[in-house]
Amino acid sequence: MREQLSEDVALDRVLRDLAARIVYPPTPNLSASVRAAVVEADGRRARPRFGWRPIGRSLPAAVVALLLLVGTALAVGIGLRGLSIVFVESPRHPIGQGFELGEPVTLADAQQRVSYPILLPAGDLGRPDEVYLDLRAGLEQVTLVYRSGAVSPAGEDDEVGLLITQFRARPDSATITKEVGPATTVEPVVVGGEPGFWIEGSPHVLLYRDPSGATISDRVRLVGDVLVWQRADLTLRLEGVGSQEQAVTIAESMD
Amino acid sequence: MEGRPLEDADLVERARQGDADAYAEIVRRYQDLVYRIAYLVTGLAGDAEDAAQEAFVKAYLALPTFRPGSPLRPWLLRIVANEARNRRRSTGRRIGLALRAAEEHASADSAPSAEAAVLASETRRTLIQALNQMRDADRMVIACRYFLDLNEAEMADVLGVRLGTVKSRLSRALGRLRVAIGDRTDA
Repeated sequence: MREQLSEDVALDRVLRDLAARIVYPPTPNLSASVRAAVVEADGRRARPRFGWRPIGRSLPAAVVALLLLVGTALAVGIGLRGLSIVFVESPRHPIGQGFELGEPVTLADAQQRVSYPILLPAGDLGRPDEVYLDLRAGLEQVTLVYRSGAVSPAGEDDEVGLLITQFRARPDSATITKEVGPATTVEPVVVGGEPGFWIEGSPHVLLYRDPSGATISDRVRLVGDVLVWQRADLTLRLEGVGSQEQAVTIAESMD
Repeated sequence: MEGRPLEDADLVERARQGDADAYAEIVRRYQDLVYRIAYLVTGLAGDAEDAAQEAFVKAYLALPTFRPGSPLRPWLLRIVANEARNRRRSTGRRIGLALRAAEEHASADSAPSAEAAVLASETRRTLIQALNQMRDADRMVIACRYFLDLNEAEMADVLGVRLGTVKSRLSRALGRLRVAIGDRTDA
């Protein structure tokens, strides 16, 4: 059997044969429940919403709109008859813009503008919620931003949960230990056969060597531990994962 | 829905205009595949049902952003895979999925000989055991390719990886499966 299945063609054939025999739980009839849910959702969307959350999110905008309408009405001497204010949910706002990560771009755009293949984590994380590109220092820095919930249950509000940054530089092993501060520990780790550091204690600034050998510094954006590692001539930094094991698993999945 | 079945694009257009029956027809068409993907990702029938239903509702709410003329199937697969992954992540459970294969009773017509039928059955059993011992990611990529019969672009969507990664990941998973089968038959 070993000889039989170890052949590519034989394994391929047996797996295809097996496909028809895989037993799944019976598919529930989803059409009725989904239909009811979408009818209800349509009804909700058609009605003005006065619950706490929608009003809470759009209240400032609504107040401004109301003042503008009243002001306009008073200025031109007309009443508000025929005008109505409809509360709407505000669109999801970019979550990475306050982190000074560069310009927001699409993943495809970023890939076209850097000279290396952008590495993405496999499996659960999937594609990032936002991508930022910073070409200013010549490091071709790309940052993948994931909302909270990417590696832990989502919080009440949208916020950055995980940052993965990659750029052309090398971690500066000679100075990284000295510069992180007394409350921070640095543990050498191996990520996919390449060197890295697991830095505990919320470091603020990390030092790297750019391709010309010059020392550069970059601040850490998220509070918490950091994994920095090297992949060929790239440095990658992962922020927002609570355990070293989980961080290394994500790092090693990047391809 | 009488006469010739409507194309996906027609159903999508009707659903975008609020036709709940048209959307229910879309659900009927894709619920088997969507549910199986959710099941393979979450590993539990109950979670899979919740994820599949939520994915269909989210897809409906996102129809205004769906580009007319685009294929519906990969779009749906991407949504359900994301939903199932989020659900699995939020529950913090490992998959723990155990694939099972139906045992058939060979008839005189279907098998060249009783010995061949026994051998084929034993081969399948070995394969299932090896698959169930594999890492989740390896089992998932093999299941997407062979059991769900997804193409590479669809696999990339479901697995949440780049298209170029799919081939290498499948190749590595099949390599590990071959080794596992060898270990089992040697034992």
